[in-house]
Amino acid sequence: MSMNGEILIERVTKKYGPVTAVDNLDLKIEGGSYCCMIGPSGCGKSTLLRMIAGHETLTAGSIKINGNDVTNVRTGQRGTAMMFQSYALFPHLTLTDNVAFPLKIDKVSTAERRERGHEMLDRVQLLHLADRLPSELSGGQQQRVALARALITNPQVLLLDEPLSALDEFLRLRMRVELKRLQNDLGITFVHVTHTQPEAIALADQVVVMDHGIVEQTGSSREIYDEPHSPYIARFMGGQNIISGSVDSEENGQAMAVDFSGNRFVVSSKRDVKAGEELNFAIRRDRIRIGSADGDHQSALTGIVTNLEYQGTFVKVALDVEGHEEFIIYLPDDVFFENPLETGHTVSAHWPNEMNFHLLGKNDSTGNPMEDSH
Amino acid sequence: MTNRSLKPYLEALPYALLLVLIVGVPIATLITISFWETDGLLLYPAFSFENYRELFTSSLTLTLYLDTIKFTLLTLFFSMIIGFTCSYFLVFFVKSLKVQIALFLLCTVPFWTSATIRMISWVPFLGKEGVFNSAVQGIGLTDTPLEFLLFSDFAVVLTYVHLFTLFMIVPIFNSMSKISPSVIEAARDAGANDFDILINIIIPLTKTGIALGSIFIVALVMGDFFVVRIMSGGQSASVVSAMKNEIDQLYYPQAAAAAVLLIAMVLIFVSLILRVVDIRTELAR
Repeated sequence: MSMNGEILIERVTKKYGPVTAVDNLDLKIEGGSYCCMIGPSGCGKSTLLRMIAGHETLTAGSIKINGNDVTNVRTGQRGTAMMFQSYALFPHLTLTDNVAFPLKIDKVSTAERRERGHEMLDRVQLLHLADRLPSELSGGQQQRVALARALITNPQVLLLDEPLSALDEFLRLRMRVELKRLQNDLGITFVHVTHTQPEAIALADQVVVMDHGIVEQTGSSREIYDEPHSPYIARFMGGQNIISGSVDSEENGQAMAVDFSGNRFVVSSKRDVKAGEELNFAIRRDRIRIGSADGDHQSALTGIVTNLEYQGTFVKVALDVEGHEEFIIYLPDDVFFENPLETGHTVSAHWPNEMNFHLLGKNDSTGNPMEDSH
Repeated sequence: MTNRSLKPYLEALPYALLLVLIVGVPIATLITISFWETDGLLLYPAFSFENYRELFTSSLTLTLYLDTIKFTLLTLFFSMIIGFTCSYFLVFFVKSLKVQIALFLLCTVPFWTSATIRMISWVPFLGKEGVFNSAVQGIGLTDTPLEFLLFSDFAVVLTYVHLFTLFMIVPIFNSMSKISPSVIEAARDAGANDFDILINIIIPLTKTGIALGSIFIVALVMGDFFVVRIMSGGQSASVVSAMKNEIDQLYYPQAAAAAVLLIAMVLIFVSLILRVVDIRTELAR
């Protein structure tokens, strides 16, 4: 077992009066990993983060860090440090004093505080502003100060509550890289709460997708993106079309599904399915091609082009298919421009049968996907 | 001068005129008269330092100022403690905003009546035959009535604190409620306990409110004569009550000189407060 800040969350529940924010949740976060918790607002991800930090008490369950039960340990004594969404710098203290504040509480001598504060500020490239007040800094600089303050106690776990949401697009991408690099250098556990899917995918060793206070799915970025558990995950992480239908027949693990418009699809079923049962499956948008299907083992649909968006490396084609939610295809730009489409055209789309990914989970909530923020 | 450079001055003009009219003119008058002479009936324009010489050589002046400063400091001390504690409770212990506002308004209830009535109502409570003494004797804590309660320095300070604490609560409450909860959480995250947070976060961030409240109280207490006269039963005097005596006897120039000195003293107090807390930058933060 790694001693670098493994977090074990066991049967944790948090209730606010009649509202259940986190519901009997089990989760293991590997020590030294970058974990992103993602979900729509109100899914319980921030509450869970705050419970790990000790800013919220648990209604039931336990939290262990490095095998030690910290459920009732005081905030600040758990080996965790938190970086707040609004940075929460102390407005009356200089950067040095801000960063060294945890040391002051630890009764470290003034000289040593100053020295270590400066070291930490140097690390985030702000030493030249050591005697300024937070209000004199830009948002990005304030964030670095908050980061330095969180790291000065050498925590085993760094908890980040939507750390990038207050930054502009350009800074966000840059800070994203820096956070990842920092985590690599320090080798401690980062738990990062976000509602932005590309951020989670780009950063995480482990993605935790939450909805309604439970973990809907957890796994590597690739697993979550490529093998979503439920229609909700597929929608939330984006990049997938979801087709709902019912099972017509089943043979050797191959279910024949019929959608509401009578299109027939072959789906490799992941469990036993019976005829007449509802079945959802997903197809990655970038696996679909336009034109008539060549050969067997192909699934196909026909629809009207309603929108075209040039995205540089690909073109996003929106189809209106009878009986479906909007069907989207990502065509590589060279493929698209070989045979350009126009809105209003009726086209057929096809893809190999083995791309049909059976969605086992029932959760069909739409969440708040930010799927197009590429 | 171009039109452009004139504009800011024109914009400031109405306010400047108003200030000159309501602050500048009265003070100029006061200063002028403080140099005049009088025979107790008529005023004679002059440029004489006699009034000031009298003021600075009289031992009474020192006694009066020592008394007034003593009352001011005591009132500051108690109202600060009460004001800070009330605000701390309202901001950090009352979770519901509605209850917070309701309790805050409750603090202002005494202000719905006149200050005189609030002051006088202490008399039947604290007097020899008053409610408090009857109660204390009734339960047998003492045989003789406690005489220090009324017509004493105690009564004066008590009344000041009662009358003026709200002026401390309001600004402290204001600056305390501006402290972001996440800042306090960040301190807690750094391992701070309630006492650490109080000393390192809340008090420094409430300094502006404390300073503003202190300015109010210094100005109010140093400018008072009524409370001292009634509540001390004539045993203590304040700077202003001495001034009032002079005015009653038509010694206007002497009163004016005393007033100029009082203004100077209050200004010194206020600038001392401002020296400790830079209100302008704190407010701009």
